[in-house]
Amino acid sequence: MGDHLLEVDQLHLAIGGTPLLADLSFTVAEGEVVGLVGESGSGKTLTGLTVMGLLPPEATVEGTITFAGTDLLTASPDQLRRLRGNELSMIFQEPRASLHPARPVGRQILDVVAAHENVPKAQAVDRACDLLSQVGLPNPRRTLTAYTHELSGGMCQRIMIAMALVCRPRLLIADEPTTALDVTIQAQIIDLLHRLAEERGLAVLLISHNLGVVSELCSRVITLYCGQVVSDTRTDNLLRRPRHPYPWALLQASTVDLDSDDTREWTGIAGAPANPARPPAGCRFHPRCPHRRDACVEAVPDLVPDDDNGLTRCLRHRELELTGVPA
Amino acid sequence: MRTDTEEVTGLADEPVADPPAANRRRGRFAAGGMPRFVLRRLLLFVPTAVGAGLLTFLLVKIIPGGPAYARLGEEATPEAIAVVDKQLGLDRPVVEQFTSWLGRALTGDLGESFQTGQPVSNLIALALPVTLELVLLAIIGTIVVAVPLGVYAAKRAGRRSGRWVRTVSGVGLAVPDFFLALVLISVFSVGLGLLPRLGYPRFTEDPLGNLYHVVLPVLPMILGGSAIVIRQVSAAMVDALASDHTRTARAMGLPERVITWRYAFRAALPTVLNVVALLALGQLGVTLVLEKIFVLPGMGSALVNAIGVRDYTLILGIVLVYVLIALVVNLVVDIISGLVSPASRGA
Ligand SMILES: Nc1ncnc2c1ncn2[C@@H]1O[C@H](COP(=O)(O)OP(=O)(O)OP(=O)(O)O)[C@@H](O)[C@H]1O
Ligand code: SF4
Ligand SMILES: [Mg+2]
Repeated sequence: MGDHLLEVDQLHLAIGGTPLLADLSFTVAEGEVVGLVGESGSGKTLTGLTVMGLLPPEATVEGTITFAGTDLLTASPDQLRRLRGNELSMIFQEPRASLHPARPVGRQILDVVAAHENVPKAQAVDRACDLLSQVGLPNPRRTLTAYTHELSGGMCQRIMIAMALVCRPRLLIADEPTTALDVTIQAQIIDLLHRLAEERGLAVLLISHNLGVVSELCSRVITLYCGQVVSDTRTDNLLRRPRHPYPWALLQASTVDLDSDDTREWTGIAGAPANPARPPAGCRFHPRCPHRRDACVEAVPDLVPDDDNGLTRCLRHRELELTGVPA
Repeated sequence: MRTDTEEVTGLADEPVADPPAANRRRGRFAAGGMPRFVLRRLLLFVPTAVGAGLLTFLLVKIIPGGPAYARLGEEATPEAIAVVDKQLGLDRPVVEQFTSWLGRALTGDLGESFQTGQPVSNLIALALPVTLELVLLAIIGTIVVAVPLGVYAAKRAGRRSGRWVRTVSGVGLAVPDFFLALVLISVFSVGLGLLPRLGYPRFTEDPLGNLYHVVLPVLPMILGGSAIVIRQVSAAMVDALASDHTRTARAMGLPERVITWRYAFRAALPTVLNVVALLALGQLGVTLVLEKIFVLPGMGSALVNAIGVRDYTLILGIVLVYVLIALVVNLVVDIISGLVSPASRGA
């Protein structure tokens, strides 16, 4: 602790009085590419939005979020604005809807530069062009003047990535950046993120419900269940031997085939996801867990170190022999 | 991980969403899209005007009494009426009356007023500027008042000040314009003596006096119009501020002022334009009443008088101009909407 770029500590989030995230803690180190997975509704997007300070006004947040030494939860709106897009950025699931339909995409990129830096227009245009070719867009000058309706979804996502990176942030939160795209384009975007993260020493928090995508890109995977972190461990360890029955079930259900680009979507796991507004007593996963014991219902398990230098929120993590997926 | 070249060749798989759209761009309305669109709309004017003219003609014919009766008053004997009718060409079959009027109207000749014998186009030339001035000032005033308030209400939606704006404008919606006019007259004219209730110096002769005299007639139009526009602008802005692209703008740290105006308001602009255009047409109707209350020599007063004396040619001439205005307003709005929404350009 301490030297992390992003440090989320005991975060509690409620919107309009409904608890949605509970005791959420994780870190992202400088230059680290971390996955954040979980079923739909587990709170992945909300986690990203909370870090960005983009929650609706009726949200109440407790805990601390430290980014490069700044406490984001106590920072002033203007301080936050200066950080957003500049030091930490976020891209979203629907790339076309996430861009303004009536403003040329180049202008939207230049707006970001103008919001954070005082550079002459011509220089900003050059930089935007450079970046557009770096994200693999042909004919950058022409693309700068294009509107979203003239571009494909994949191109829009590349523009979003360029926009998010134009001020050289240190952290990129990517919320399901490929979910809305064709499979071939998905692979291209994942490659692109991989390359950019490597070249720029960029830290990435990749939100996804696709373990295949995550394991391809991320060195570490954080698993959310019902608004809580249940597992936080290195990707290879997770794949080899999960230390929590929930990511284990996810792995079994996904049958990820790492050698194929065609990583199948989850087929889902038995039972309905728990509702963070009315969480089950004890271990939140217990109603769906094939390994539960009476003790699991009585005590809320802590997030504790496992035998692989990871963290798990399972009382039985030492006794259970959970099998991963074949390498 | 792939190399750069593979990354670029990989792009070949990725189709541009809509290549024709990409080609259509380059220059605002390339490929003749917009001129053709304007032409189509203008051609539509002819049947619309003919239809509206015919409808008006028949409606006016249904009203008992006629121009001869109105002109002769007490002396209206059947013989005298027959003479006047013959003078005015009213002894011919109704269809023929209409087609002969139509034939002349298409060449730009609106005929003479039955009542005064003056060319209808001259009468309209005098009355139209008065009405247009009222509507134009009302629209400008409404935009100036309602757009900032609507945006403010949207930004503060859910907070007390935002609800206040919406509540007040909701009350405004329920108050009829003529009632508002009467209240304003009793306050500013009768009570405080600040503003004149009667009189209309022509703008060309006495610009300041003209503006001074139209304040009171225009004020109820601005207030009534704002009540509508504030709510619509605010609703459109609430949507725009909640949109994905506004979230992106926030995520990129754009200043709030830029987000509000350059992004959200820009997204709401087509809606706002449509609301304003509809309002302009609605205000044309409001002038009918207000010109009567304030005794202004506009189209509304002229129409009401013409109907009173069954001045068929004048009625038809005025209706024709109303139809023309409606058409032009719609056309202008469509053109502007095309300009502000790139996706519909040239479509
Ligand atoms: N503004 C809000 N007000 C109330 N509840 C919300 C709000 N936004 C999200 N939620 C709820 O919070 C929970 C977590 O939402 P979140 O969007 O973070 O899920 P997610 O993990 O990103 O799921 P998905 O994979 O579907 O994107 C969901 O149950 C959702 O209904
Ligand atoms: S604590 Fe018990 S119920 Fe929860 S995941 Fe572990 S074994 Fe299952
Ligand atoms: Mg989500």
